[in-house]
Amino acid sequence: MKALLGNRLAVIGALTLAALAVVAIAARWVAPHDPLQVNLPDALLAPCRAYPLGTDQLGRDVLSRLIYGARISLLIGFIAVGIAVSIGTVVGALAGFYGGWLDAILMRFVDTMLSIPTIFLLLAIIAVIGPSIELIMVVIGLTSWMGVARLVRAEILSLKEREFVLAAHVLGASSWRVITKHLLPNAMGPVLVSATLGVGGAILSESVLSYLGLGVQPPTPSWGNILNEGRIALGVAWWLTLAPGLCILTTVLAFNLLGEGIRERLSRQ
Amino acid sequence: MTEALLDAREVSKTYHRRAGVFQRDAGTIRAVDQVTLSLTAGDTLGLVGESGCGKTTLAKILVGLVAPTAGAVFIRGQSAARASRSKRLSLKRAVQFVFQDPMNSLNPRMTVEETLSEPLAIHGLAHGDARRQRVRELLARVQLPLTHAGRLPRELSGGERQRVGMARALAVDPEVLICDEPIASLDVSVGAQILELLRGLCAQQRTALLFISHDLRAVASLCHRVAVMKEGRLIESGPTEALLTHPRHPYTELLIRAATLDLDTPTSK
Amino acid sequence: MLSVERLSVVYEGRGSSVRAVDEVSFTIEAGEVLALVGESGCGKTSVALALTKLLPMPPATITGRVLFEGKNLMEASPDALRAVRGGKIAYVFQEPATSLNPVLTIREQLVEVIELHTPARGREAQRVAVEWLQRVGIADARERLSAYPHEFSGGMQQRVMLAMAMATRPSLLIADEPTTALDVTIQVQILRLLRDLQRAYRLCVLLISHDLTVVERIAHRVGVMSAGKLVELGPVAQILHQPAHPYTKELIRYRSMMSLPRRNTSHD
Repeated sequence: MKALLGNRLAVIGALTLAALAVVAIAARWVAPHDPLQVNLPDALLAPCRAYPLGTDQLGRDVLSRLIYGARISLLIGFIAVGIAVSIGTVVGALAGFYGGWLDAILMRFVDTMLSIPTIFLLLAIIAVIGPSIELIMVVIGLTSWMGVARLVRAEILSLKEREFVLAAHVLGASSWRVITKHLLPNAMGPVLVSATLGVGGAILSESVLSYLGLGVQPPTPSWGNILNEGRIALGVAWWLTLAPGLCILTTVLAFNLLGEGIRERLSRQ
Repeated sequence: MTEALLDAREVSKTYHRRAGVFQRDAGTIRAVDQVTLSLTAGDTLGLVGESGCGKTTLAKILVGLVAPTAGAVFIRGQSAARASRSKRLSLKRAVQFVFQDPMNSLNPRMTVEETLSEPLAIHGLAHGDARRQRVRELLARVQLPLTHAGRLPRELSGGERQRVGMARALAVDPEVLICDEPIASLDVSVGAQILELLRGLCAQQRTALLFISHDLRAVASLCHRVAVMKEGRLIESGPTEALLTHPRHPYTELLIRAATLDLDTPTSK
Repeated sequence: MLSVERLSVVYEGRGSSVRAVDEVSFTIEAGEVLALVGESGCGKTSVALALTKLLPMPPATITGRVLFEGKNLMEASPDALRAVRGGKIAYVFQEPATSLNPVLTIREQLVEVIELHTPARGREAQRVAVEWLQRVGIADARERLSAYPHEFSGGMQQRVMLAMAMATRPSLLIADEPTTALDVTIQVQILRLLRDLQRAYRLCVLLISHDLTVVERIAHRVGVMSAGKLVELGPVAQILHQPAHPYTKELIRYRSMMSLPRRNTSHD
């Protein structure tokens, strides 16, 4: 952490995300208005003192909706990546450690998954089952673990020839011990980088789905569906699209800066 | 006639070279070719040879990291490869290994204490306070200050790391210690100290030592017997003094000249 | 020939600086081999690189004077330094595999150096290249010119490095652990070659080594470095038999711990 401070951009990314997380957690106290409160007389107001980022077609405060939307976006981002990292780590570790036919089967499965266009798979599943926040997290997670699996496998392949791993074998350590104590802890650095970048990607996926109307369903606010609603009024209310757009941009950028920072730190070690 | 602690009978390891897109067999490489050697309590055997002569593969066969393609290794007269699970663990305990590269041979994420506790945990040798006490004893045996227990490998010098590697091997009270180029990547003075330490440890416990090195000088200063390996075969072996003063094989002669950096006797090849 | 006066190298880190070389002074006379010995991190390689400012600056800062053929290299222009490096002052490093460019043939690399630093061009440069490969003991030099570095063994690669170093007819050869990465039997061959070349061309050599036996066989004088300082400097025989500095005594004691029993066939 101390060394991360040396990278100014990574620090900016981390601070931005920390601020965003605080705001999302404290949404109830930070948001100036109820995000769901319809107030038709105030519909489509430009940013002003009462509504710093203006209002939408139903007179709801855009700022408050963005703040509550941050909760959803971050939640989906973290849980989806959590699922992806878990699956990817297990698959990658098994393939890398045992090799042979298990490796061949698992990696061909990864190749197959990678050859399916993710966004269409997402759309198809959600169209069949029906949209819900939980489903979105799971589906994004289930379609984005392959990169992690490849990464973990590659790390394990190079680590398992290292002498400290051989030393554990000589001592008679079980495979479970070798994997969990010696291989995975040393393989997690690059995974952390990929996970950090992945959260940004997952938030982006959520936004795309919500924008297409298949993600988070109104009236629950998410950055994607605020953007979608704003699209209709693009000609008259620019703030409705600009504000969520900037939120998505800033957050994804912040995750990328932080991820790059961690990567640089690891490569210097 | 004392019983052999470690006994390798005509062990061979051949690799199949594969070439081309279809991985056709392109001949075999005999990394280790019908090697027979045995060690009894108190023995110190030096194994010399140049890079690629198969000495590391032989060492890995002896500790069970590599399965021989022919021949067998017996520990106290029993074959570890054919032993039951629990029996194998106790046989593994008898033969321990010290690796060449002290940077590589310790898990970078484990403290010295954790590294030294692991063998005790694997073999269920000591628990709780007794284990901590044992770790302290081990540190003392390899002449490391107790304050180093909490350190990570990167906070140690090369020589200190190699001492930790030795302590890890000694933790399970092995009867045979195999050291593969333990001083090759250390400074001369540090290497000399490690040799000194090895000499003391083996004399104290009558631990049999197989010392593998390309450096005839180091081998001669430590071992009572020397075996010379070339292209996978043991070409000559005998008591150190006799072998060095009256080498029978021209290659041994060549190695001796190389070790003394004799620039004036012309060499063929 | 070469006179180094109070050479210091300081590496600036974040908030801290390391004095890798601390006011080191020495000279090398024409036809002389000076060895610098010491353990890793003692600053001997930094000295070798600092002589022609081969160190990345920053983080390194170099002070002191390096007089080579009457000119202070520390004040020379970058162009002048480039002309000296690999020309009048040639380097041979520990790892031949990383010193050679893997995607270029030996011909391309050798001819490039020759054309850069000598008047020879085209066919003439190629002829010089073949000649030097022959002199460093590479059989079928003409055919081997078109080979890539990976087609050579480690010892052969180091021979090629020596040919590259010698082809520009340097007056000073800086050899940094030239045999450390090689197998013991190959080490002897390369050392013998280095010694023979040195004698034949009355070359000045700065030999960097950790091995006192290598020094004993090749060098005339030896400097012992410890923690950036040159703690002792003198003729090899004197330093090996009557070391003055405690650190030198330690090094010699360790060496004697690891010596082979004398044999009757021994020549000395």
